[in-house]
Amino acid sequence: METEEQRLLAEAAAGWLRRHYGFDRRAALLAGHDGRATPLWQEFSELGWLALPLPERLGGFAADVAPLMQEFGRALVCEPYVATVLLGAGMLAACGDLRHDTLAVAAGEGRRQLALAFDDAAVPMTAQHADAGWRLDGGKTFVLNGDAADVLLVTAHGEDGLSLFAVPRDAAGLTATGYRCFDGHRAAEIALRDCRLPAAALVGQAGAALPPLRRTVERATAGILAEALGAMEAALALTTAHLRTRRQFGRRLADFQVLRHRLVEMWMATEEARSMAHYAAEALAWPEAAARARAIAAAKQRIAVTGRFVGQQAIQLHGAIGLTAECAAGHYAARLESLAGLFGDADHHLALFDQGEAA
Amino acid sequence: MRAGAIPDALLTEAERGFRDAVRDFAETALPADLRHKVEAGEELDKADYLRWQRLLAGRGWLVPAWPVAQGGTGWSVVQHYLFEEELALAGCPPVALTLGVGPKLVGPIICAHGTAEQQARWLPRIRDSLDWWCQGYSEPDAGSDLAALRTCAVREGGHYIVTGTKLWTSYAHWADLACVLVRTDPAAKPQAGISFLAVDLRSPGVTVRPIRTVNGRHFFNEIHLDAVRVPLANRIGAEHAGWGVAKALLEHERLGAARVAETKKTIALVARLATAHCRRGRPAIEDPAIRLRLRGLEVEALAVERTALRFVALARSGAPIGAEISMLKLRGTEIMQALMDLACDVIGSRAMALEAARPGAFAAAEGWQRAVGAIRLYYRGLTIAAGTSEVQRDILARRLLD
Repeated sequence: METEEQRLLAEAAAGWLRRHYGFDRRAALLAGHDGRATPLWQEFSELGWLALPLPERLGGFAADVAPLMQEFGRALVCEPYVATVLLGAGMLAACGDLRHDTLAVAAGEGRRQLALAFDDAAVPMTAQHADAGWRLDGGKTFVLNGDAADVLLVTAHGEDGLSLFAVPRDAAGLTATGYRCFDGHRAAEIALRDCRLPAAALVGQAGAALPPLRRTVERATAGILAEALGAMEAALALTTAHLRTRRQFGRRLADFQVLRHRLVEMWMATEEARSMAHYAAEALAWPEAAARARAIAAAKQRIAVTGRFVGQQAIQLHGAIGLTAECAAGHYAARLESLAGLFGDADHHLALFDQGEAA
Repeated sequence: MRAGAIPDALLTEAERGFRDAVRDFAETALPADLRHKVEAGEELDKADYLRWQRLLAGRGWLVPAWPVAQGGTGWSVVQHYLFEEELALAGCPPVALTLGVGPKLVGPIICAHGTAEQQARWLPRIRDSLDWWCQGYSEPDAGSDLAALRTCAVREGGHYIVTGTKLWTSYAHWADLACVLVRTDPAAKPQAGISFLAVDLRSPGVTVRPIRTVNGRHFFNEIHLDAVRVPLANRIGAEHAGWGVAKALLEHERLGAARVAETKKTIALVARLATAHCRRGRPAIEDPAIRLRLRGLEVEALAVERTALRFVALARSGAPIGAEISMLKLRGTEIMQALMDLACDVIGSRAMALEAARPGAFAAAEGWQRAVGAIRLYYRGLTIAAGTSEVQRDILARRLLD
């Protein structure tokens, strides 16, 4: 159950987003630039949202981001919150390396954009000791905010295991090929060729990146599940309103039983997603890693399936208008497709859930 | 220690103590032969249920939802939920039939709408498991559209003369009494002219005929009522007000619709079957297709379980829950059906062997798997009984759209 604090946060966020991030305003913002700018970032910072999940040590509030993410889902927010706050600053906080605290604080204050590059491209990222520092080579794929981040946090395999490095955007040997996605967000393919870094670029101990990475992705997953829930709620509300007003064959769409029952399926899918989003948020606090991972895998699997269903049916029940850029239904569907695949799709998480059982 | 659906952390100290007391009772009081029959999926007969009912009655737990003054328990929503879950997890005879029409349906109706005389006449006999009641609502032309019922009751002196046919009355062949909906005012609007009567099934003019089901079992019946004389004193609630009487079911009695405990037990049973049975030369559980189907259903069941818990919490905070029950019923029954399909696929074509349902036919077979084919077909009824899935969707759609 949500606490009073969470309710107030959600209400405040919903109010602000309604005033400053309506559907038309969002469309104008996205059309007005190449997606690399983050016009609302300073305001997000002033609202305290960027430091919300960070520990108090890093100037944060150590708060649950789920209520905020749910509102982001409803409003289809495209600012790089997941990349900079949940993944970037989240990873720095999880590593707990005092030498990089200032970067985490800067991210929480909106002065630095981050990206976490953890998904290897065809050529995996490797790290070798070189001179007094490190040499990184390889590729990372689908790095959220990868071409806009001031600093990329890059995982790389080396003789010690998986390590994390803070790589400035202007580092020699770094190429970021950015692209826009259908959901209005932005990602990049990252290539590092003979990229030389000082010893201080290492975050945490060499070979120690995997546990904090897992923890960070778990937290970010719970965050995007709340976002998916918000998008599902909004898509459902939009479709409900459409069925009530649109007329065909001389009747409201809401009078056709086949459409009524489809809407019920969408509602039930949303209620299941709500239960699983809460479940994932709850599981984050469980001390036992295997149980935690299994619960979050179950939640991600179910919300990938139900989220995709609700998005697709929102388009179907709107008819052709749902496919147009002027109608939000398609944008919800696009975001829900994106979230269904982010951090692993339904099949991937069902396999994780299964392995958890075997363990 | 077996885990219940509600994590320990979400229960109060008192609730945990309550759950442990129910668990302890279910594990110690249930006779071993009865537990074995349930685990083996064998058909239980009336004597089995009476035995279990009287053990519960002895503990004061056969009619927990009734008002305390009538022998009920005064339990909270959470306690009712825990009670049913623990009974199911412990391998007790199904709650739906143990706390069947008498304790769960007619009893609360008599408590709410019966006269003092009726309460004194019927309630103790339900509470002590002396009378078995069945529910006579459906008719040949009134299924989902119950208000179309035609069984008529005409007043004659101190009696109603009741004539008509009731259909799909489960376990009428075990019953002493039936609660039936009859039309007392043919001129009124369909729902306005209905009354609620208790009919003694030993009355002259009553004929109970079995209806065999496709799985070879007998639980359905047809009741013919041929000018049956029913005393006016057997009408529960006002004349013509029977529709409202029948519809007023208590919410906390229906949270079990999610079948959370039953689903968990079934998942474990299917996993056991899939370990024991081979497909293409290896245990079925190692076949990725089978394995992932089971895991997928497990995740679906988890989502329904978490949803049921959310609704329990809503009910506990005093919020009205009504339509939510329809969702639990819909999803819970769909998952049970899919699990039984999977169980049959694991066993293979032999699941279709009617003889397999008879003990001893496959000597090597584990008890429960002999019954899987029959249970699979029986479970098709889950999405029909107590409001079809389509009716549930209609109920939900009205709330979402009208």
